[in-house]
Amino acid sequence: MPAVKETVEDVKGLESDKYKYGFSTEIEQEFAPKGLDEETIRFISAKKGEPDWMLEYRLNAYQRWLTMEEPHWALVNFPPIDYQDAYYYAEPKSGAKYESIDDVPQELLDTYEKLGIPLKEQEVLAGVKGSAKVAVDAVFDSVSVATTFKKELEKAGVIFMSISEALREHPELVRKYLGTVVPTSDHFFAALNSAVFSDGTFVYVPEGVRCPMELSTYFRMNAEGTGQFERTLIVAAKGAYVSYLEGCTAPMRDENQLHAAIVELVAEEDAEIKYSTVQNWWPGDADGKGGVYNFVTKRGECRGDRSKISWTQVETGSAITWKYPSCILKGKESQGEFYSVAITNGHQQADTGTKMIHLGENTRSRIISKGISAGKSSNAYRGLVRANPTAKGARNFTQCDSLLIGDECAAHTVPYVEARTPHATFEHEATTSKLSEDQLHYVRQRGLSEEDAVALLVNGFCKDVLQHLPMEFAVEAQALVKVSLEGSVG
Amino acid sequence: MSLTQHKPTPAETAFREAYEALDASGGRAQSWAAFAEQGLPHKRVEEWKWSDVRQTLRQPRSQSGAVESDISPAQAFGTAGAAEIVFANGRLIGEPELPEGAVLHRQDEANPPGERESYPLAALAGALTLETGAYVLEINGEVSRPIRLRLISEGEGAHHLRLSVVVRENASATILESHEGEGAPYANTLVELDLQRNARLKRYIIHQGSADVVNTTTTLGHVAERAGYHQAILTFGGALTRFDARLTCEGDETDIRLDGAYLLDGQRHADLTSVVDHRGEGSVTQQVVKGVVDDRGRGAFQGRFDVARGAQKTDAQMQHHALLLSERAQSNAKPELMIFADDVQCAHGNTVGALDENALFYMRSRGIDAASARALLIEAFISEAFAHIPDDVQEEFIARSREWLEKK
Amino acid sequence: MMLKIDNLHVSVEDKEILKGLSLEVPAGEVHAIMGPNGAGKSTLAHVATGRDGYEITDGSITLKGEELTEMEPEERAAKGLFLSFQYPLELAGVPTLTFLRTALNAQRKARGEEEISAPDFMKKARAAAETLKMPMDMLKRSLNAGFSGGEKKRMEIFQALILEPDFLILDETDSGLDIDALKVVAEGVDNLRNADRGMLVITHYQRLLDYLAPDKVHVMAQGRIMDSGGPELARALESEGYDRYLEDAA
Repeated sequence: MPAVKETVEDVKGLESDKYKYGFSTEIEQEFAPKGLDEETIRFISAKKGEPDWMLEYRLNAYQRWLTMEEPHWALVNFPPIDYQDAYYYAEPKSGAKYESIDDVPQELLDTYEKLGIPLKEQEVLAGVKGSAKVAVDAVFDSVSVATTFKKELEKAGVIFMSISEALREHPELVRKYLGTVVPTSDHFFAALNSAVFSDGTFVYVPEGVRCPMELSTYFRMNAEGTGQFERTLIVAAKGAYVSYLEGCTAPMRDENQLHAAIVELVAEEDAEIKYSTVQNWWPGDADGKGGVYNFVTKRGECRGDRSKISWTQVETGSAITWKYPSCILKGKESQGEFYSVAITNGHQQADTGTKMIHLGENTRSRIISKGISAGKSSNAYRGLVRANPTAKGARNFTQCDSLLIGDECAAHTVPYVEARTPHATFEHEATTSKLSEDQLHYVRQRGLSEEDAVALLVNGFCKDVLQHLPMEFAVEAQALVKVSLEGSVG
Repeated sequence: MSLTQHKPTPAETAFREAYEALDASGGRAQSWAAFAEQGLPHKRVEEWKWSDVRQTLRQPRSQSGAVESDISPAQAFGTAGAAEIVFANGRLIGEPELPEGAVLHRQDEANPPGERESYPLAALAGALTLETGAYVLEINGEVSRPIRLRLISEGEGAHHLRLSVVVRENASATILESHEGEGAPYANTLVELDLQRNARLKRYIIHQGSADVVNTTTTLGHVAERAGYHQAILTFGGALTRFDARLTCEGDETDIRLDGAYLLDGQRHADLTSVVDHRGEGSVTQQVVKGVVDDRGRGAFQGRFDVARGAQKTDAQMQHHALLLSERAQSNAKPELMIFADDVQCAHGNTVGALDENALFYMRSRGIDAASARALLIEAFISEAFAHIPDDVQEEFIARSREWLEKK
Repeated sequence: MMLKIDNLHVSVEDKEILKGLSLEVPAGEVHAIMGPNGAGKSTLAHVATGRDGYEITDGSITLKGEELTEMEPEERAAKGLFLSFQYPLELAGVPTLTFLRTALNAQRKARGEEEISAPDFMKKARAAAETLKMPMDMLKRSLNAGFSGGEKKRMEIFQALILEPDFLILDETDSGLDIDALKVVAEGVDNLRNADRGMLVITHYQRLLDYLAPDKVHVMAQGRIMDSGGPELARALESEGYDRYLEDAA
């Protein structure tokens, strides 16, 4: 993603005045009334022309949500959220759909331009030699405004569209899978999302198809006070393969923005899904004010034998990150992977990790987590590895390393390991260390500035994770590592 | 879960009745209020996820009566030739003859209240201990003869004991502690430790009793500058067993070891939980815990190292390894690090799995029969947790483990 | 004068380690500093390159007439100062060639020069590897990761060949090397010798000096230069030891 690379290189620092993505687009919004009740949900559903069963699904989730409590077990602190003081639906007013990219308002395109999002194909393909094609389903607040590469995907039989569109065009397919990995009753934020999700992405890769390009969605929150409730559902049918990229930036805000997305992945027999995220949302200003609350539920189910789901994430943004991309390893010999870099600086708080639930025989999972804490931030790895009695031959390897930069930050490691069968083998290692003065001096003696030296060493620390990102993302991620840590030393 | 908000369980009601029958002095009222607020811990309380005391103590229990039969001679540490303090069902038996430099006395208010109130079972011990206040074992000098501490439990009631151990500046002692139990009692013990500057305490615990004993032992310790506390536990579990140690290392350069092993069969349960909070600089903490679980046993290990802001140069290493020997065996682990200082060396490792088949085969190919090979491998596995125990005590730990293995 | 140290006083946590050290090394010359443990030799190497934790209470260090003491470590590197570390560091996950190319370009940029192209850089790296008899796959790994002591020292000289500094400080580069490796490293260092470049070789032993034939030998003890002379001084030290200088100081 060359344009992104460029953008990232231009991004300077954490402080508000330096946060390049901190601008808002002036575009008229059509809001659902502020607050949340059944009427809001009916409004959203009607607005999107959804089938009746979907409205029922939402209302059911809403009823469950009303009985639930906001969870507070994570190692993060935030002031109470007033769920009635937010808008639950906003869309660009000039109509939801654009026939071609030329119909998209210039204002919006300019926004993407500033973000470096390669909406147009030529931008996507420019620069990086031999880069794979990337299809972009851009989400502007809640409504998909442009989808590219659609034809080529159609030819391959791949369905890649906004979930609203999918609900109209492939209702039975969506119905078959929606909520089967993350049920509405899963927890507070899952119920909330299920009730009010406005849009998101649906991907279906049919049997035996290897998706011909990397699929990518850029999320961007825009409307002031609009929480985003994205819903993503990716299904890889028997023998299918898909690689999906997600990247985010958000404009500067004074008030906190709640983001409670759900991502569900289903991998059938012999299918593989690779899901990569670079998350760089607005983390708040130098005093920790503002910033995005990123409370996301991501879960994949390896439903078929020999299926594989791989999560790779680089988390550098948000005021609070609360997410645990997980794998339910149901199929025999299925595999789950979680590769994570989480960087916190300033007053950021992150509580992130994964769950690997081994149900099937000879299932394997691998967790590599690298947490970097700087400034006054707090960074926690929280993970669960469980083997049920049925998971004979299950194996897990977990490596959790924390790096501390400066003496005012915090790093935590909270792994849960539950073995219910003697035929599982679990290994877990964790270390905590600081950026060594000796290493810094060594690198600076060779001519690198202090910040470059920090970036070099931290990128080295993260290498085992970054190498699992698609190439064009890896470049962006490395640059992000540097940007995220500016001002952390000295 | 507060008793005031939720309907008390029969066991909680029985505890209330026991409390009301006691003289509400010596900090009892405060402890009771704290317990009543929290109630018996259960699996939905994060720290008690794998040790559901409320569920295990379903039936109401009255306060245990005195043990009427003669106290049998010590089994554990039988050869150690130590001085002996015996508590049976929470009551001190006889007048212990202690070596010079050690005294046992009673104190109405042994420790400032506050800390024990944070832990439901410690608060329960404070509220329901038979003798008002606490027994205090005070160590004033370098006591070289080990002090044997026997905690005997029988019957089907519940008894609670509060014991403080104060080790004065530069003083040192070794405690050989045995938890012995028959029948199906609930033995709840609170040990409050005060290790003063440069003090050293070694505490070796063997817990072996019937499968129906419920044993919860909470240790709340404060460790001053350059003081050392070495603990090793060998437990064979029971209906529910939890050894819970919370140490606050307030001074610089403290030296902590918290080793242990749990060997479980039948439907026995054991939980080794510990939190070491490092607040001074340059402290060293080491922990090696091993678990072997057979049949339908359930083992749990929860270890946490906290390193406070400014506690630089802390070196804290934690290892937990469990072997599962049967289809229905369970092991749960949560090794945590909570780090607020950058110049530290902290690490943990955790593994769970079956016995290494390759090693087994290798040994058999050298002519050792399968059962012996297994026993040897398991013994070697467990022994690592005892590597830092003085020789004679280590022998006892290994002999007990071997007996258990030979039963297999 | 290439390197000039004048009346240098340095303290670590209020303890004075260097007590008025003065030294001049002209371009084209190789000087050796020998001395017993605790003489302050490594302190000198650290202070010259700007390591944190040392307080300069008096004196100056100049390179080609420019005062170094207020400069950041990377500025000194860009000015042409290179230290071969006594204990080279392992940089996990940082590939050697990436590291060196980044360093070389950072230095070039600081000097207002063009960045080196990838093919030119590779050419340079291959040539240097050949000189030092280093297999290329060693360069593809993370810097110094899993290297032996000798391999690390060789890697330091490799870096010098790539970075082409004006002045080198070799801090006990001979320690940890067997005789064959010593020869190779010495050849590498010898390769770096030219009329425009100066070197300061810190060592305990004579053997590296046998290969390098220094122009001058200085004896350092008690935080200063106690004696200076030709190569014969090194040989005298080898047989007699440092007792004389220690007694003198006492």
